[in-house]
Amino acid sequence: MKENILITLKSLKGMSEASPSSTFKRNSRARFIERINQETSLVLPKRSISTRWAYSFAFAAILLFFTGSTVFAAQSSLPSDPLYPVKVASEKVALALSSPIPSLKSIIAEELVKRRENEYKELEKNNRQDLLEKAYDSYQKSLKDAKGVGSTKNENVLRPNSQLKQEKSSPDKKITPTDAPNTPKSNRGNTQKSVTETTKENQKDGVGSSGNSQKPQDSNSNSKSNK
Amino acid sequence: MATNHLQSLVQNAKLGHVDSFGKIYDLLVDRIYRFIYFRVDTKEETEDLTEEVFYKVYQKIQDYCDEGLPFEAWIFRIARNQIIDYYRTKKDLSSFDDKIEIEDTGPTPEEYTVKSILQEEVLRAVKKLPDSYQELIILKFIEGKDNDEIGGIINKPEAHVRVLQSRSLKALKKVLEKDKKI
Repeated sequence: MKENILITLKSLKGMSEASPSSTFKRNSRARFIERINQETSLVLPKRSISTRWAYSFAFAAILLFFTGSTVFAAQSSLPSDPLYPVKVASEKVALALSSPIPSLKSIIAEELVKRRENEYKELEKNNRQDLLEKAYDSYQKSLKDAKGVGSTKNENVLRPNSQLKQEKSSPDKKITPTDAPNTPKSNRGNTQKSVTETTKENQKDGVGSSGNSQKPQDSNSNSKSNK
Repeated sequence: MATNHLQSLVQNAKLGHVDSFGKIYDLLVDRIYRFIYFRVDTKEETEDLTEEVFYKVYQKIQDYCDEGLPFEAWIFRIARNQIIDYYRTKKDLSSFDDKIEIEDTGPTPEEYTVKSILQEEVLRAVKKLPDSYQELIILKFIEGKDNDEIGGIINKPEAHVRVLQSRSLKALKKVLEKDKKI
């Protein structure tokens, strides 16, 4: 009897019902592959151990960039604050550690552009004319850095302070920080040049030392005009 | 099936080659389907679970390490866990099922003519056994796996598999005698 049972059990393997139909196999296989394709398009590919380490460092950098007690406190600081150097240092570390992942580096660079832009706006709001030019330079540098790591998201949205002052003095024009500069797009890379040129023009026209109650924005130009 | 061929497919699948997943599916789908078929009630459930098993394989393939457990045994282990989950869920829903009149899913007279009655009775007897016995009978006597591999699938030592084998056969014999069908 035991043998009969064993033979019957073995024969169950050949039962047609115990085998998948060819239609099921075809459709199920197609669904399986489609599911994998969908997921692999969403998930980052698996990487080697060394790359994973690099990723871990990079994410640690991000963590450091946005959190960490002193560093976190420093993130909202302005160039005039004592914690500002901590902020800048943490940003440099984050950028350096994110270098194995270009996409991540690009994200950080974009974030830095936003920060520099906000700092500039804050200083402007606080009427810190003495720091505006430096903040503008930092903004331009961050833009250049972001473009250097392949970011295309950031556009130059700030105007040189001298231009702002000039336009503030003219009642016809309403100034918004998001206005594009007057220079054509192809000349935007030369913004730095236009700042000095505009400053010189302002000096000639006496705009820099007009009756405006605001502090002069350029210490060099001020010293020249004082002379 | 050449084990080396399967191993190289697994390596490629781990690297993200979708084609290799397709080939693994082709190689193992019949066996996995059959293993599930003998453990669950309907063809539809078998099909659903088979699909899920292969999807789990895709999800977990990075965790698979070929030291010790052969890939096929690993996949059977996934299928086994899938069946356990299936029964667990079914048990949770049984309170609802009790209130629903379920259509008899037994074989129709036409099916009987196609199927061997003896096979049908043995299969029914197998399904009356405790889960661990069913599992062993399917893996050992239907799929023809050796005790080592079965041990890998059910995560028990080989000695335990031998004991289980003897007990499950005795239990099956007892059920069949009770039904007086063999």
